[in-house]
This record gives sequence, C-alpha cells and structure tokens, in this order.
Amino acid sequence: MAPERAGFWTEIPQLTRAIARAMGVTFRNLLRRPITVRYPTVKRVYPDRFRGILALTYDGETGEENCIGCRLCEYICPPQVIKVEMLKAEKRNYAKTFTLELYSCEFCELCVQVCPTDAIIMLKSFDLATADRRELLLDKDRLHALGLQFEPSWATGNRLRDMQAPPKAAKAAAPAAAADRRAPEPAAEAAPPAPSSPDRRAPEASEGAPTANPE
Amino acid sequence: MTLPPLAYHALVGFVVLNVVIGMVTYVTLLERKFPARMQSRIGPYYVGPHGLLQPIADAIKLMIKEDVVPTAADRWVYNLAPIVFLVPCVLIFATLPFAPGLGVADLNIGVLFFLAVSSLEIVGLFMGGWGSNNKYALLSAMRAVNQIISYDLPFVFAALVPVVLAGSLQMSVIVEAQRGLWFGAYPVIGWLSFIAFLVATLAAENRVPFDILEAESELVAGFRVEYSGMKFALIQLGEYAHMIGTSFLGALLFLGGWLGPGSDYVLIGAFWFLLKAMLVFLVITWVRWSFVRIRVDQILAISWKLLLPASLVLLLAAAFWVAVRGGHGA
Repeated sequence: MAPERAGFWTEIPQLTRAIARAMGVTFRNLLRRPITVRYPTVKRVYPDRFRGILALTYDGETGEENCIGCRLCEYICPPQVIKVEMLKAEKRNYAKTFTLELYSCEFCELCVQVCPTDAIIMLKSFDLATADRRELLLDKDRLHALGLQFEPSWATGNRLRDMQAPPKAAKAAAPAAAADRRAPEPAAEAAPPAPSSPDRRAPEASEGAPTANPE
Repeated sequence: MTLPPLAYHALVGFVVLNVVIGMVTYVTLLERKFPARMQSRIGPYYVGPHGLLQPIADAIKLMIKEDVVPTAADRWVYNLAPIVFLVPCVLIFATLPFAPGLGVADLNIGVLFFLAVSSLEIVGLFMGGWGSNNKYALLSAMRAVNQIISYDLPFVFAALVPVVLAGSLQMSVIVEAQRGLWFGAYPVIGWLSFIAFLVATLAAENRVPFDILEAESELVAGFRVEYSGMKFALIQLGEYAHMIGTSFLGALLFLGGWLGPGSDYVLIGAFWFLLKAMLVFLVITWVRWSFVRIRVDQILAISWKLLLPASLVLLLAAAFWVAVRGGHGA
C-alpha cells in the first residue's frame, strides 16, 4: 500500500491475501479454548528449577537448622540483600541472625549455589505481594516458616555443584585435580558460562564442605 | 392502537432509546469477550457469572468518578461536546424499523436522514477536541475531521447502491425489496458494495485499522483524553451507539433487515434484525483485532484512490442495471 501511483494498484492482490490471512489467524484462535489459568484459584505446575521466594531449611533427620552462619551467601549476593551473623558453638556454628531483603532480591540463585549445607533454597512460589515493604524484610524465623509453607524447588547448593562439576571419569583420571581444587577449572569450562563464572568462588567456599555433606 | 400518534411515537421513542442504551452497555461486554477469545483469553470473568455484570459495574464506576475540567479548557465547548456528540448518535435510531411497523418513524427519506444525522457526530467530536485545549485532543480531532470527511463519501455511495436497487429511500421498502435476495448477496454489485460499506464503516467509526485519531502511542486517547467520569461515559456511549446504529443500517441495507424464517411475527423479525446487526458488529470487531493501524496517507489513499471511485462505479453500475432490467427489487 505504498503511496506511489504504480505500487498502489499492483499491491492490491497482495493486500487482499494479507487481509484474508490476518483475519484467518484471528478466526482460528476464536475457535480455540482460552489458555488462561485463573491464577489465584488455579495454579499451574511450576518447573523444577523455579526460582521463587527464598527460605531456610531444617535438617530432615535431626530437625536442626541447616544454616551454619558461614556468610558465603552474604558475600556472593550481587544486590547485597543478605545479612548474616554467625553464632559460634561447640559442635557446629549457627546463624545468630539471618535477614534477607526480598524486595531488593534479584532471584539470581547464587546464594543457593554457594550454600555448603543446603540451608538456603528457593521455593516454587512467588506470591508474597503486600502493601507494606517491611513485610518483605525476612528474618530468620520468617525464612524458616516459609520453607515449611511452600514446596521447595529442585535446586540446592550440593545438587547445583554436582551438576556443574566435571564428569566423574575426568575426576578419576586426574588425581592431582582432587588435591588442588583450582585445577578442574579448565574442564569446568564445558559448563554454561554464566553459572560457571560465579562458581569460580564456590571451590573456596566448599573447602570445608565435602566432609559436611558426604553425598 | 387507541393512543394518539404523538403519544405513541413518544412511547416507542422512549423504549427504543432505553433499549439502545442498554444494548450499548452490553455491547461493550461483547467488545471485550469476543476479542478475548480471539486472543485465547477469557475476558471479564469475575463480576457476575462469566462477567455478565461487568458493564453495570463499569457504568457505576464511571458515574461516581470525579468530573475533572481542565482549567485551560473552553468550559462551554468542553462541557457541551459530549452531549452534541451523543445526540446524533442516538438520533440515528429514530428511522430504523426494527420489524415491520416497529420503529419510531419510518420516514420516506429514512436512509437520507440516517446518513445526514450520523455524520453530525463530527461536530461534537471536534468541539471536544477543541474545547479540551490539549494538543493531543486537538490533533486527534483534526485527524478525525479529515478522515470522516474522506470516508463519508464512499460510505454514502456504498449505502446508496441498495437504495438504487430498491428504488426507495424508505428503510422498510428497502427491506421488503430484499425478499427474494439480500442486497449483500446480489451478484457482484451487492458483494462489492457490501465490502465497500464495511470498509467505509470502519473508517467512519474510526475503528482499527483506521483509528489514527486515537492512536494511543502518539495521541494518548485522542479527542477524549481530557474527559473523565460521566462525560467520558457519554462519549463512549455515543461512539458505541453510532457503531451499533451503523451495524443496524448495514443489516438493513445489505442483509435483509428483519427478513428470515417466521419474520411475519414482529418479535421474530426483530430477533433476526438484531442477530444480523450483531453479526455486522462482530465483523467490525473481528477486523479490529486482526490488523494494525495504518498511516494517514494510506488511509487517505484508500479513500480517494480506491473506495470513492469504486463505490461511484458500483452506484453507476447499479443504476445501469436497474435501467436495463427496467424495474427495482432483487
């Protein structure tokens, strides 16, 4: 439908076809069922790697808090929304306080990735909508309560590190690599670049972890 | 009927006016539900069963909203515009016969009255655009005047084809002339003029793809950008009334009005008429959700280079055909 004199008439057949096609598309859609999920009453099944609200976990067997207050999540958090204070104790350490400013969280899942004890996880839920920002300043009790309230996502620190570690065969073939944790890095380049780059810091993080979780 | 004619017409007029306003209210629901299904959505759902009370909720909301008048606005023009806009839009229903004998006034120049009054809406529209003292509103009103003047000609010519075929400007005569064959199904002349009528209707109603006057990305909401509350509701009411009126005209001129099985009974005839008019309205809506907005120069090119010559040729062809055959009617 160019304004030129020649184009106007020559384009009319093409235009007619285009009109028919466009109206055909809308008509076919008219006959389809609506795909709307009526959200508050019906909830769709979220994917396994859903990155939703953050929460703290309890140990499944002993019922103790998993968090050892190591502050790794605090260090890695890009928007710096996590603040942890460690409580030294006899057998293991605890988090004295654990605050998470969910209103500034960017849901990057890095804190989950670095957690040596699978203490912080993400949940398959996002509805914490509120009229008061202060309700999104989550403390330790609130985070633990949320963990019990919603279904957890698949990802935990150990699972993510297992997934991103070099294949088992490569590990066995290079015994020296086991001694020096920095050595497997070239092999780890096979992993997707975005998660692997923050993971560079994970080996230092999990220095003490292997004994803690023999999985 | 023992009532004096004046009282009878006043009564019918009152009923028609209220029916029209009720219809307009519910057509807004149709306008939301139907395209929702086209986009695989549901549309209004929670107010009443399947959103059936949504138009009423909208109306109540608009009535209790604050009525803001911009300080820089030309108060008289600004406040008068919605009424000037609404009156011709509702007045066009005066000559529409909904069924044989059921109508406010079956004028012998009914089509002429309809075409004349329906193009008066542009006065109210331009008053609104001018009185708002807002650059968007003014631009929009200018575009609207430009477009409506361009498209009233092909609109009138396309609407005159059935008039020529039927040999009368009286709506009921035009409908009765379609007893054998609807003018919309009349070979070639009828088909083409029905398409021309639909396209011209889209443009005259400022509907997508000819909705440059309310191009949201550039003009916010067009000439009604400064209106709120009940004045906004009046403008919306006028627009939808105008659109339904034009759908009724299309059903009358091209789809045989109230003709259909059992149309000897007034109510069944009225039912067929409503059904056909709603079909025309749905086609207009269907087009709206299938296309993107086109440019001003394209709109004018379509009007002056394609539609106007085509509808003129159609009108001449219809006149020629009637002369050759030596008689009116399908």
